[in-house]
Amino acid sequence: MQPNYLSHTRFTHVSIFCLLSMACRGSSNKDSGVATTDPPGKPNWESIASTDQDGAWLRAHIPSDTPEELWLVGGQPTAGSIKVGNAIKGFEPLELPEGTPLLNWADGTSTNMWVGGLYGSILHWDGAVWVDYSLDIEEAIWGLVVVDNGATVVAVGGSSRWGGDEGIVYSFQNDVWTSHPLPDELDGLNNLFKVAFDGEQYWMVGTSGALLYGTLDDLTAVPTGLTQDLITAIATPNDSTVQIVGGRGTGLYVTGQNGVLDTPTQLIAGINGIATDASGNSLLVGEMGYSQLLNATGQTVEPVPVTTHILHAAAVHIVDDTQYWYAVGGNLATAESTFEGSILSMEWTP
Amino acid sequence: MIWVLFSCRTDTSVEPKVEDMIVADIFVEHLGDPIPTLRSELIEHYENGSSVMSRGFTPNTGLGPTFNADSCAGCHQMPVAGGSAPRYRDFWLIQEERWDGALVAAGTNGLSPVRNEYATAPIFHIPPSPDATTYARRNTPPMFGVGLFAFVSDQDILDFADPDDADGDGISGRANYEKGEVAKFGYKSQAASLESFNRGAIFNQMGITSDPLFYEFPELEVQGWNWQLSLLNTADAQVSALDEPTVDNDGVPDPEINNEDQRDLLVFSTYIGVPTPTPLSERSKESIKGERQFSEVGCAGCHIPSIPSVIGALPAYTDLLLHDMGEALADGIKVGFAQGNEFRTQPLWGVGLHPPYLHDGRADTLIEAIEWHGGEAEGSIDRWLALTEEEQSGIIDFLGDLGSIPNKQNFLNDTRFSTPIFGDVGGPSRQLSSTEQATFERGLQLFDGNFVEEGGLSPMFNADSCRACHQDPVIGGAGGLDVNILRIGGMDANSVSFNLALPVLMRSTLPFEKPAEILELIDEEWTQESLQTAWSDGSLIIEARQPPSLLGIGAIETISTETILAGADPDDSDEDGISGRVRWLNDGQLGRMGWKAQIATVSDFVADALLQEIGVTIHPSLSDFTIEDDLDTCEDPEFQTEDVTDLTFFVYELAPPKSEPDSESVLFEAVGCAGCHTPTLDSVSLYSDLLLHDMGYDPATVVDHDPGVLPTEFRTAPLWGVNDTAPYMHDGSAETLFEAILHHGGEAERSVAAFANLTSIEQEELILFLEKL
Repeated sequence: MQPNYLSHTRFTHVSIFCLLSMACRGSSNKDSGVATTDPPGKPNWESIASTDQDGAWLRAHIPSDTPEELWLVGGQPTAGSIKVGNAIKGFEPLELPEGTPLLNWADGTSTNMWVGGLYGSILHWDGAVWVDYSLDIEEAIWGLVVVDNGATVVAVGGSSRWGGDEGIVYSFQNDVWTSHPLPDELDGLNNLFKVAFDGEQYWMVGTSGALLYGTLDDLTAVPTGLTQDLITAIATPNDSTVQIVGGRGTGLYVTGQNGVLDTPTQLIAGINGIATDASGNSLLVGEMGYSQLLNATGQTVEPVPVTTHILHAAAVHIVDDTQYWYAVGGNLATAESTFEGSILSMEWTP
Repeated sequence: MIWVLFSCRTDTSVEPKVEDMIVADIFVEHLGDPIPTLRSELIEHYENGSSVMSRGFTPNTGLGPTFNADSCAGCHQMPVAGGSAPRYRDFWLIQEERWDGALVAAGTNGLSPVRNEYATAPIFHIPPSPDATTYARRNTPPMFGVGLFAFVSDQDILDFADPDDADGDGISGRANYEKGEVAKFGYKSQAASLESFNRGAIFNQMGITSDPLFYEFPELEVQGWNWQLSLLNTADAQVSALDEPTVDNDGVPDPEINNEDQRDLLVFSTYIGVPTPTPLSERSKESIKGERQFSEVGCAGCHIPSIPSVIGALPAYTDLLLHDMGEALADGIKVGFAQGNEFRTQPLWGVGLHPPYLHDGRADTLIEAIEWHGGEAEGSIDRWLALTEEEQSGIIDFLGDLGSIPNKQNFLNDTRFSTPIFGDVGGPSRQLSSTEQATFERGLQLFDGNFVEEGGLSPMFNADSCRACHQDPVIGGAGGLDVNILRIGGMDANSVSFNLALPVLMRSTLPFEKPAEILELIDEEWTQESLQTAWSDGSLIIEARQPPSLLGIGAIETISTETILAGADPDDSDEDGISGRVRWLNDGQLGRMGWKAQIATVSDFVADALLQEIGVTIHPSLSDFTIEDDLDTCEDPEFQTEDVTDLTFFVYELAPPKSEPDSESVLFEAVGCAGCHTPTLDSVSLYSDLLLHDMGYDPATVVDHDPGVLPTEFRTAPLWGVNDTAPYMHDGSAETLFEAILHHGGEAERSVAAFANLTSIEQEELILFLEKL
């Protein structure tokens, strides 16, 4: 059964009103939901999948060795899913070991891919075979990063509606997982959502403005003064910078360098995912299908929403000389026991 | 029906006048009714939503683990479910400073423990935590018409925004957002959808968990286009707000409100009608002039007379935008884009119905509320202060005419609120003469009206009206768990027993379950010493007390002393295991009211409640249960004798609950219930002998309320109307009649054993009998 929020969204309703009112208004607004009324050149989403029964998608990852391939990671609570493909050729499922739960994140290359999910699940893909490296914990793995040319994996996570109650940091080196304690300032923290590596230092973000910075042996709690959840961090190794997004209800975008954050920018919806292209343009995606493009000159554009699914992750790559942006998500943060996903793509080169 | 079509606002040359656009069919004669044009398919949902509003949740149905109220109507109570609340329902938003300087919400469920700064015990005053840095008091706003803001588009709100004050009028105004949509609901305009707002309120205030609403309205599928369907569409859109399920780990499976009830609550919230404004033909010339001056002064800069919506212009007198209200009103709370000094422009339709005013209820009157405005309103306030008293009065008259009442302050003078008559539940016990009926009506108004400081409220109080604790199922009835009184007692350092009557909060969202935590919050030295002594020697007792129903209390006074004495058997001379002792009071009267039979007459009951719960004194000649001077700034006696007389008349004349006639139960007799719950005394069918009985409680758990009464002794509670007065027992510890029976002990042990030996069918039969009393 198609859930109600897709058949009766705010956007479809407003579009009805606008159809009536456009004749006298002579213009439309961001809520019009009618792509044909938008000015030429304004980026718009195309829906690749709106109710993907393979589940919600939480990560869109482009391996450095196959830049035209997009890995989508997600699934159902009891059945993780991975799809590989792109906007041109579509997406094909990649078979997973039986019993793999919902997967939240992936990082690595096509022959050295690590994925993490519920109940401490961590799997490794060498291009041919999956090997289980799961931790024996209730906490979910929300984020992981592969560094040192694939020799080190750092995973973070914490509580979920399926179990667990504390924020965790683990590293994997020489076939051994090692737990890293949180600084005293973050005592009681229940979640770290993502980890990024800027070439020298790790940035780990979590609930209620939690930010860790440093090496695995010396993680420092950064005083952010923020109370919103920090959900995703992406780092640029060349200049040790980081971009962080987060929030709930309203969102934030903040950059940082060398362990210090700049002044956050407040956004009108909570932001879960971010992707940046080679020119420094960024896509931010979040609640209720909200997305925003920031170009290098500081201008912003809000693509017309085509889903009320929460968008969890973003990605960008070039296929056949065309730059494609992606936003993926689903109904993960709902009461539904069965998840369904959204996959959106957009051509946009500022 | 006048639905005014959507207009084109981009071409000002053809823009119709606002008054031509006003949507008419949103006003109701009877508050609490839905807008008159509500589609018939939604009526049933609305009515169920209304009942959900008034549903008293219990711990077994999900209430808690901590809570500030046990029903939506507990706060949205006046003058009907969906209304506002007086100050005793205020709560606090509390923030603490974190290690890195960030302010984070404190309390339970993230934000909002109840704190009553006027409470009868200092421990309930701020601060609850030495680390707390921000306290923001909140008074319950009314819901009338608020749901219609769902029909206001984002762009229509943004059209009024002027965040940089580009027009230089000193008024900016900016939108708040939630999940990418312009937010419309809440004092800080923090919620974009009613679903979001409702789910937050029931979780934070009652501990009721819910799932996001995924209900389909199959019967409401859109088949075409008209304005009524647009109502449905937009309401449906409210359902689309996504959020996560709430969970509270209180042992009751989540969600604790099902999707259907939540949907109907949403329907109720969306379509509750707007108070009818006074027709132009009935308005005074002062009011009409006041309307003009309202605009000239600049009030209409934010309180814009009407805001466009898809159902027509809503005359709500709000722009739904955030404005800087100045430092005097700033509360430091940041929500979304709203800063500590910013608040959403409050709607003014029906404003006269719901004092006190402003987000924290600090203003008793509209004039006070106006003069608290600052920030962007400074220019308007300067112009307001320059008006003559007569001109100011005209503006107040105008505001009163926005769906309010003739005298602008006391809604009960409004003829739209009918007084119950003989035969009604909550009506008088007999056919009253017209003079008596008028007195009864005035007494009801006094019972229902809110006291303010100028009227004697304080120095401390647990409630600011009689109704506050006696409103279930009608005014004069019982109170829920959320208005329990907390008694704390024990032996002090001099081995003298003491007990304190404190306002409820035993299960509130403050962590007051543990005595040690209470002790930490005591800020009166003598009290602290006494309680610490009691705590350290193990004698400290904390006990809740449930407000009983007053229906029929006057009939109890009519029962003769001899009749009550005839039932007493203090030495159990008949060896039936049931004794029963008369409570003689110091003045020689026979106590027959109260959990401990500590009061003999209705007039003493009224005097005691006025003083102890509201802090109001009466003339000492009227009762020994008052005092000459309560040390507040209001001259004593604070309640005039005529008022006391009328209030007492109302309480005295409250008819007993109606019982269904088949009230013969062999089981009731056979089990032994009738041994204490005597069916009739002097033809009064109250099911009580009005005597004290040992209930078998552990003395260490019961506060010794009065000398001469054992801690374990309680007056037999009347059972008439018992089905409408849950929870049960003196401390509200029994949610159901079944539980209440099993909570009996002492002299009732044999009866409880007999009840336990009944078959389940027989037990159900007995419960059914009780329900019909």
